[in-house]
Amino acid sequence: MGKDLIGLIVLLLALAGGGAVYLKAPPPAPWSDAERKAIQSLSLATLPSLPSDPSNAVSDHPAAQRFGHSLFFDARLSANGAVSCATCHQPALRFTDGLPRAVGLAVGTFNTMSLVGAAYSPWFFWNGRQDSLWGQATSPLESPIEQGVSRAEATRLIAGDPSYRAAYEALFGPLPPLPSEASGTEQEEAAVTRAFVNIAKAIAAYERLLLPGETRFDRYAASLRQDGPTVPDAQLTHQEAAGLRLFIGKAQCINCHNGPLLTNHEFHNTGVLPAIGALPDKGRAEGARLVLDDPFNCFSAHSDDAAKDCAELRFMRTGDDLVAAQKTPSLRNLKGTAPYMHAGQIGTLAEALDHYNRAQDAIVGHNEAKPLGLLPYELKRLEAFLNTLDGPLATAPEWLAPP
Amino acid sequence: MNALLALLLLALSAAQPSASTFAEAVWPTPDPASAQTTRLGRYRISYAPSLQPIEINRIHAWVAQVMDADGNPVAGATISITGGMPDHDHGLPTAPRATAYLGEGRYLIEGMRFHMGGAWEVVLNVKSGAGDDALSIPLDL
Repeated sequence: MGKDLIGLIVLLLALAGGGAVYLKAPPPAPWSDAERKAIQSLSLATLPSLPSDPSNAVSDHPAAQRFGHSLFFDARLSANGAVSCATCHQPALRFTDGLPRAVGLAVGTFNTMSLVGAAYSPWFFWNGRQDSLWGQATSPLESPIEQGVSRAEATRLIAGDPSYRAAYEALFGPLPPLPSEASGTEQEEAAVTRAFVNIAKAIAAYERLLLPGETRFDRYAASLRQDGPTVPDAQLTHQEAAGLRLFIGKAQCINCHNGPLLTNHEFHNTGVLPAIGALPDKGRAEGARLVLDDPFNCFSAHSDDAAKDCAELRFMRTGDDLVAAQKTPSLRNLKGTAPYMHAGQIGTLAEALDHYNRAQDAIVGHNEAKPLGLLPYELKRLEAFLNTLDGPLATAPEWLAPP
Repeated sequence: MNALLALLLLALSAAQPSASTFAEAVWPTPDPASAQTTRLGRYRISYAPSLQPIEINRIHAWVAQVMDADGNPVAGATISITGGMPDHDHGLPTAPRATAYLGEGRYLIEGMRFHMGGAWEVVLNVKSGAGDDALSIPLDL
């Protein structure tokens, strides 16, 4: 009787807060057909090769990739000569910066999004306020709190650097004449804007090379596809496999974090609190308005796509019900990309999981997530699974350092 | 060099005509045998997505063929598209529209995209001289 009581007490203690420590996951039950299908849908093997970007005529041009590579790491493209694209998009941190909010010339409003796999998305920035990778690259260059260079200054840098000038002119033709300070005609300014856009298109050609590589999860998924364990390092621990089962099932993570990049590229309000001292962000409601007015959007003359299909933009949902909705980020390479959320409000994966588990009311708009009621040991399992999504980039090492 | 690039681009663009350019595209033809009757029985609608099977996260088009109760094609109807995921209490992630009449009661619907796996409902709302009616199409993605 005493023994039974002690056993019961131990069990109850284990089930309470500290349960995660004691309740190691048992060997996983065999996957159902639906689970197998869901696992494969998340596998990198199902990622199609990157489609060409018809809005950027040099998107896959090797000379543009090399030119963009140099530009990406060049801090001369900033008002103080100290901020490059790579200041916030650091290769060692999966092209993020480890900060809650980006710091360029000043502290920004948003958390730096990773560039890895970004080329697959129809929308850029947390609120999707631009619709192409090159359009995205124009923003930080001109932003007074990021790099803060004018279109003419950026063009002048290219004109004054013989190797840049040669690279530019081989790709895009002669550089335009640079108007003297503030006296340019409308035509001269338009020519400088075209040159500025070309600079951004070269940067985008480089950024398209930044792609996610195989992770332990992907090897596990591959091993499930084959007969017998022929894939090396393909095993997940019981804990990780139990987390995967939650991810595609009870925890509903896969609703938004779907497909091989673990994002649906869409916008959701999940009740994330604003950064301390900041007003709530308007999110996609504002981003949708901005992208329609963006002078570099898919409809603009700067897009090289003669067909101007622009289906995503033409059929984009707009409206106030998108308030506070932010873009679903990829869950690949989470280890290097903390802190999380649009203003870096959440520091760790455990806190992020706790946030979704509680799914408290949003202070603006409504939280699309519902409370999950997961127990601490289940959250630990999810966290263990998320850590299997870390892997090297599928990008040659020479691209990951300054040229 | 530039000429070579231009040639290459030309060759590429010729080899891959944009599937969604209206003038060039070959849209799918709905199978009339699959037609379903709208809620109030005023129309029979068949439909065909340009993406088969439908995949999540890919924007694509549908063609819907609208016939009246007697089996005659309905021209000049106003088609609107609504729907969402009933279990999740949210609508479609895009704002699809009927963008062209293709003849014989066929309407081109562009801007369809689904952003989650699971149970969806697409509602085709039809307005014409024969009255308002709607067809609810369940999809499991």
